Amino acid sequence: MAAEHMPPSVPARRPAPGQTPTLALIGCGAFAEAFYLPAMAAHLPGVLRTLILVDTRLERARYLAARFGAGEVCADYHDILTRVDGAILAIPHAFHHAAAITLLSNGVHVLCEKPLTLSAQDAHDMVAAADRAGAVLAANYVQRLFPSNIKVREMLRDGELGQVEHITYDWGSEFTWPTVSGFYFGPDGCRRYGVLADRGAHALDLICWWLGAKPRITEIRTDALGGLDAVAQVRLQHEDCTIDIRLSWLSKLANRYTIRGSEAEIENNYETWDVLPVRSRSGEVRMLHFPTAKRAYRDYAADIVANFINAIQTGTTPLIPARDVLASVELIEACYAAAVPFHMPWIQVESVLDGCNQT
Amino acid sequence: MAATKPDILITGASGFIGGRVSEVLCLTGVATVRAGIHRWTGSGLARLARLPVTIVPCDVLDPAQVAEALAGVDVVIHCVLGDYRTNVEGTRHLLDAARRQGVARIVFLSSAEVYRARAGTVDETAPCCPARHNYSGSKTAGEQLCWDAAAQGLSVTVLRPSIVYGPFSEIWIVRFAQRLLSGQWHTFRGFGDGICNLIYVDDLVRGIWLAATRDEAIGQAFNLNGPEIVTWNDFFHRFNAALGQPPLTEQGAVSALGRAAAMEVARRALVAVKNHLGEPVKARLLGGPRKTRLGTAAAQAQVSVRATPSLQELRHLFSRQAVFDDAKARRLLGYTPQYDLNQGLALCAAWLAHHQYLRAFGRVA
Repeated sequence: MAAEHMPPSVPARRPAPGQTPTLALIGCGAFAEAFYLPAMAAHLPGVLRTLILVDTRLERARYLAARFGAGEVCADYHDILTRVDGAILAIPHAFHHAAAITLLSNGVHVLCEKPLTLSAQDAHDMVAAADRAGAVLAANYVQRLFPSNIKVREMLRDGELGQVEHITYDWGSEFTWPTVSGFYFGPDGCRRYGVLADRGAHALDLICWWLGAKPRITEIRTDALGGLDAVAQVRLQHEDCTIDIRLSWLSKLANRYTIRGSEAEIENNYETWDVLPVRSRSGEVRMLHFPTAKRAYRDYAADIVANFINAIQTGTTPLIPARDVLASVELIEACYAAAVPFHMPWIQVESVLDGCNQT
Repeated sequence: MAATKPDILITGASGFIGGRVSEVLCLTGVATVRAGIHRWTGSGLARLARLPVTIVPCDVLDPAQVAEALAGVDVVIHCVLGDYRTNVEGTRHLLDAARRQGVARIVFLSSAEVYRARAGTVDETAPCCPARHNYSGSKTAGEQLCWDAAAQGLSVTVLRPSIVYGPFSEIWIVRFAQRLLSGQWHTFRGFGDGICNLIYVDDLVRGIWLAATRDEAIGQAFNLNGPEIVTWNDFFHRFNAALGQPPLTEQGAVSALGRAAAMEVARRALVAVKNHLGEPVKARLLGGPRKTRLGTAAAQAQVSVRATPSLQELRHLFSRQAVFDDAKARRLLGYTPQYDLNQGLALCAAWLAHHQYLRAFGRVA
């Protein structure tokens, strides 16, 4: 969206010193229920008491408000634009752009779930809208907060593995996310985007973040048959480093990342955040430990929300500014544009009904 | 049925068979497909969503949802597989709604299991087992509901496929690949010479399409089988070869029975741990992603149990001498299965490799 077409912007809200910002949680689906609300109930009860839960299915919002003790409910976020300082966007990703632009243009700070958007232009619009309002636009790419992943980034930046030659990242398991609305599979514009948009948002973002660069695409294959992708395989190249990513919603994969450098290599489970094994060329394995009380993804949610509140109060940069994930949003969009189908002979249907038609 | 492209509701469309029916009918363009699912999650749903089909909620135990899913539908292909109540009450809801809403044709996926342990050549005139509270009984009961509905004017066809295999088959492909790749599987002297009656899923889809479109199918039940008669040991040999594994060795009858009996004890212990211990206790005893010693031992026991046939399999399934005769479908519908076992298994092996099952199972072993 060109700047002249942006809606007029209201300066971002700044709560009075010492005052806790009022937040809205927009979208009361499975993610709100499993991630944000339990974390707030455990760690940020004061925030939860004034939290406004927003969902077009008001019954669902009421159910979650009663269960977790949220302040009030609302069916339409347009009705609370003047009442909240910040909003957490946990709605289907196809709606992130429109909601974020409206909120930011009204001076409401935004913490947006991943994927920020699936259109690079939309993502740039959102960042521009935040800049114009002087508002915080944070993104929840939670794997960036894992201590092991932070250490990988430092090691790559400092050349501790030598020349990085090959990175792999495999993440696959059956799709068991208890989606409430089925938005991934419905007709609301999400149906083109599957595992690459979902798990790929983490995987490709980590790669860009670790390398401090956006690699170029060598090859991208998916199993989409006119709908979304349930399996995707991406090959990228950054300087002399080849990156292979495999993602699946259909079966369990190795669920590990490997980083092979000329001096040392790392192989780790993608969800192991407290340990990082580093193997030197001589074969010696050094285990780096990062003591933490965190046991589940949602244990990071309180940190993310607390950081968002702090950024609203102090005007400081959030842990994961949306601007920082633009490279991976651009990369995923380019991947979808370049995707070609896997060779899948078991899918061929041409001969299955041969000779069956009577006329 | 409408002369133009029919609107078809496939119930159980996120399942192994319903998923493939959806793929074939959608990608060939012969029908407008409405894919009925019972919940918005699962890998079967993700598989289905790769297609440009309309996905609709259709929990067959919810009459209102069924009625909504059926609106404007010409043909129903009923592929739901669940527990007894789902298979019977769900079928009743579907037939009731179909009659009320003027659906032209119903194809009901029953099973050759309705004949239970019958031996010899079994055609459609053989009596079905009683409608007891088990899988085969639920199919018998579902068939009876279909015949009752047919008596009230609904155009119903019942299909009784034998063992359906193909990509996405957890029972016959994923589980047996896991067994073969474990390195602990064998052929079984004295037990593996039963007939395994395999039909590749695309041949079943072919039979379903014929049943949905041929007038000769109305009011009839049909067995559907593959083009070859093979024994279970032959299946194990051929699947093993398709997976590129070293040849299987034969296990003697005494040894097979002894190992199966021993593993039965381990199997029961594992089931008891799974069903009777709370999650926190299990996590403490077995560990999570990082297993305790007991957890590692339990995982190894699980692999051995999986790689050993059960006594039930040895004595009944692998020994059953029944051939499900599909001559009636060939005669009345022009059904001709296209995929011999080697062709079907080659496709399954390619599918397993694509999903990295081969590497995963190899590592487990």
